[in-house]
Amino acid sequence: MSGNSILPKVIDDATCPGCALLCDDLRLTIEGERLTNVESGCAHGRAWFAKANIAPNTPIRVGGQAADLNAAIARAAEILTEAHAPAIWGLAQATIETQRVAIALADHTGALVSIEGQDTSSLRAFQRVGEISASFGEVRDRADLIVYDAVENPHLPERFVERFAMPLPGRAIVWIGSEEAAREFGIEPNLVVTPLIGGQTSFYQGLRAIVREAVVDLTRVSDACGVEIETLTQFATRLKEARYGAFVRCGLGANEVLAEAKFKLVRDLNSFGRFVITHAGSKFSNGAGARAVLTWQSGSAGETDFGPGIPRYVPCDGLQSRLDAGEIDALLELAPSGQSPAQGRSIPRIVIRADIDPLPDTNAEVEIPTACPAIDEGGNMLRVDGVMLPLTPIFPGRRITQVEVLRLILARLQETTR
Amino acid sequence: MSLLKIANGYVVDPSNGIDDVRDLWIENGKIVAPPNDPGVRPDRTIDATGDVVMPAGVDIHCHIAGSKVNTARAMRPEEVRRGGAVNRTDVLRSGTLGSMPSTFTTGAKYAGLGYGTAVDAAIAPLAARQTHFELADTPIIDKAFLLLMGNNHYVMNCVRESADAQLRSYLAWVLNASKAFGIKVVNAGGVEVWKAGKGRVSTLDDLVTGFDVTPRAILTALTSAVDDLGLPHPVHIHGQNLGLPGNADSTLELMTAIDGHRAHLAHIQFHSYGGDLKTMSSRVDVLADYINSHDRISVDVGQVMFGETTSMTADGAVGQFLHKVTGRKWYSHDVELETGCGVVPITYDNKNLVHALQWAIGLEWFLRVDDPWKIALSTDHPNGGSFLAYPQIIALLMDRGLRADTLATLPEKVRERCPLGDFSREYSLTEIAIITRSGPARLLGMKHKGHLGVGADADITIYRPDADKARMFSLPRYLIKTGRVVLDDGELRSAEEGNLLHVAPERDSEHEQKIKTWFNDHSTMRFANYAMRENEVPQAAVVASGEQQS
Repeated sequence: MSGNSILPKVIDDATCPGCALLCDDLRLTIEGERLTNVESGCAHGRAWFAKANIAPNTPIRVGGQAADLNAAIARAAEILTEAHAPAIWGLAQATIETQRVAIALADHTGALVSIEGQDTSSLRAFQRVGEISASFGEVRDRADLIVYDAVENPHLPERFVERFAMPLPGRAIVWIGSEEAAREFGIEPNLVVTPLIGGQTSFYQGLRAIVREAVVDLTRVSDACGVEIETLTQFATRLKEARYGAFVRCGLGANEVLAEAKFKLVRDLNSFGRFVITHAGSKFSNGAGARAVLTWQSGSAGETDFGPGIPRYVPCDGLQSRLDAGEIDALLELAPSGQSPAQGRSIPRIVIRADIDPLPDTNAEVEIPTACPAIDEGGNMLRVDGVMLPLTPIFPGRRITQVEVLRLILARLQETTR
Repeated sequence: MSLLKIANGYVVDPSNGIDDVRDLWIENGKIVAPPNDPGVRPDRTIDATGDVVMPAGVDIHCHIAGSKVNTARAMRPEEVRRGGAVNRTDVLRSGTLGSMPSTFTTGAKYAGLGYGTAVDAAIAPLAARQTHFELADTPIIDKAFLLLMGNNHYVMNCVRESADAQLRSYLAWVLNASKAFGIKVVNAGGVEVWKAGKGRVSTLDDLVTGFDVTPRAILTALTSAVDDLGLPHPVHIHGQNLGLPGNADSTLELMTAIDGHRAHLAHIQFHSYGGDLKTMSSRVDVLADYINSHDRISVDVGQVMFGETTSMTADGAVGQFLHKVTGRKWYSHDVELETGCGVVPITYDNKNLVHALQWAIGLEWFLRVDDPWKIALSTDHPNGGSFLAYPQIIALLMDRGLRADTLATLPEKVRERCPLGDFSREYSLTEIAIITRSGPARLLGMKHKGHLGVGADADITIYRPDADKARMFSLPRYLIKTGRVVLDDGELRSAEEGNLLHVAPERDSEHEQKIKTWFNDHSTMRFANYAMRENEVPQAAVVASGEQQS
């Protein structure tokens, strides 16, 4: 695509990295060096792409002073070389290509890898009992029952219903959460069930017991979860009668036991019809990709320490606890927000971030602003349901990309150790 | 590129009828003729005196990449940790083992066994993009994968309408779009029925709900289309009723249904059972007779080995069945318009009658098929066991005493229900070379693999003869991959990326417009984002199909 064209250029079927839904049906119009129209995207997506015209062009900094790229790469490599226990954090809004090189860098430096915003409770529950899931198209085309799990801090991307869960004749909608939240998200459920926030585990375990026709004291379940016995039994019957049910999680897992209760309920409902559990996604556009890349390269899906020379899954001894213990002595951050788990700590930080928004001084030892995915960086991202999608950059080559920066650092480190 | 000579090795090259001591010359990644000028000096000579020289191994059926394999890795940290890890070195990234090694480790371990090529046998087209990334991170070996088509909605629509040309166009398009190597059918129509919550299909003439087609029609249409396209590898079939006692009848019916077409039946061991849950027994005799008397059909075994592993299949119903039987954790995922999957941990126990029978039935297959070119060694990695068990299987095939000793440790009823103990056959080195490299390469239609003739890929393994055949095949001295000495006297010297082998059958632009319309109406991703883009698979190498082969 030429940036100097007089006639408008149109990119059809562009992928939006504004959130984990990765809608890939956007139409972008570009006139000269400006993006002039975004069609099909939600407000969040339009806001993402609007940044194409206001790229802040934050300078590269080393030690708080403007610097050139070579100096920044050299200093970053020096920090990582000198560190005894470095860590790499973020990754959840980077492309698959960037994530691959980031894990290579972790392997080379013996770093701990931690993915921003990872739902570790659900990961551990999955590792205990498994998960019955589906790509969104299966939900859209087959589900005669959709259950929204939206009790705590619910998050439902704006286009989720439009794209994957439109109300249809013969399709029942159940909202687990408050009626107010359902209205807020534009859901008109056939049934609302509102368990107590602290009673959710009892609610799901009780439902499972009813579904399995196990002996259970319904009064105790009802008291614990705050849902009437009659509602519980009616809901259980509805779940069992579904031909294809979809349980849509709207938010992160609060704790492992609760996540496990949900996974087990959905699993056991497969004794009646088909039932799956999906996640509606979060703001982290490629958290699923980060987990996938880390897994195929290391065999480990969660926080992973490459320090021993081998990848070691450390679910109970991750970044935060090591920072708290003063065990991390350098941090490489790959997150556009500029928020850091090590803010205020006296360890050298290398911040490589998509330069989306003007940020105050990050106080990083090295800060390298880069191109933004889908704006001036291509690559791939993994939708939260496991479908990988390519990005089509509007202004390719405009700025250095994250993957290019990481490759330069890795090359410098390899030269050093050669 | 430099000139390499392998001198004075005992060359076992069944494709070219070679079984004697001779030299091999390698240049530019290929086997070349010995130079006419006796004054030519190679840049390097490997003295293979006393060693056995074979083409590098070719795995015709394994599961090493894609979302199903990767989710299994994520789900089983306990097994990953128990399996051990591989340290980072100057040439190789670190990784983990277990039944689903991480990608870098997978490439290195295949190379460490003397293998040069592996084919992942079950990839949903929708997962092709991720698969390419994983395979790019699987070094040394060449890779390829097969696309799951037996429950694909577009395919079933074509079958219902008897739209043969449209079906061929679709397969050509999807193979090009995904940069895949061939077509796989898993429980034709049965996965769709199960996903729709309508139970299971068990015969070739059951109706696939919503599509008004039968498994028989899907299979015959796909085998015909693949023949018409001239793909190098025939349709690769996972039949019905996998793992269920009594399934041999439906397997035989399947063989009969596709008679006259080229076909490869995968992990046949899992489809060869008589009896019922209480009387399960071997029915290899009747099935092997069919293979022995028909030339266009081949099998790989799916040998079960005792120990811990992970079952994974696109046959979603099998995953649910195993979960119910074992009570262990279960991952299942429905892939829109295409397929399903199931993953369940499994421990094959030599005191468990069913597991012991499965072990024996697999070995019986190797011993009953007369022509080793029709049968390939596989464990259906990791389903029956890890590919790392191949040397142990080779030892069992070459040593009837070892077989008898192992059989004696199994439950008595195994000997009553499987005649494995009656076979005295022992595989020769040549037969081992056929079932592990020359045969699979030929069955895959990879004419440049599996042999050591002039023009072949210089993928070569050198073994030091050893009475302990498991040790011999576990520890090759050398692996030469595309002319590079990767394994050098037992040391891994490099771990560069191998090729991604795919087909590129001729496309039909007229039909592709129809495909595009249908796709955009039915998929949750846009047609424009489905195909791999130019230069996204830099190591891609086309294997010719149809008229391209001439």
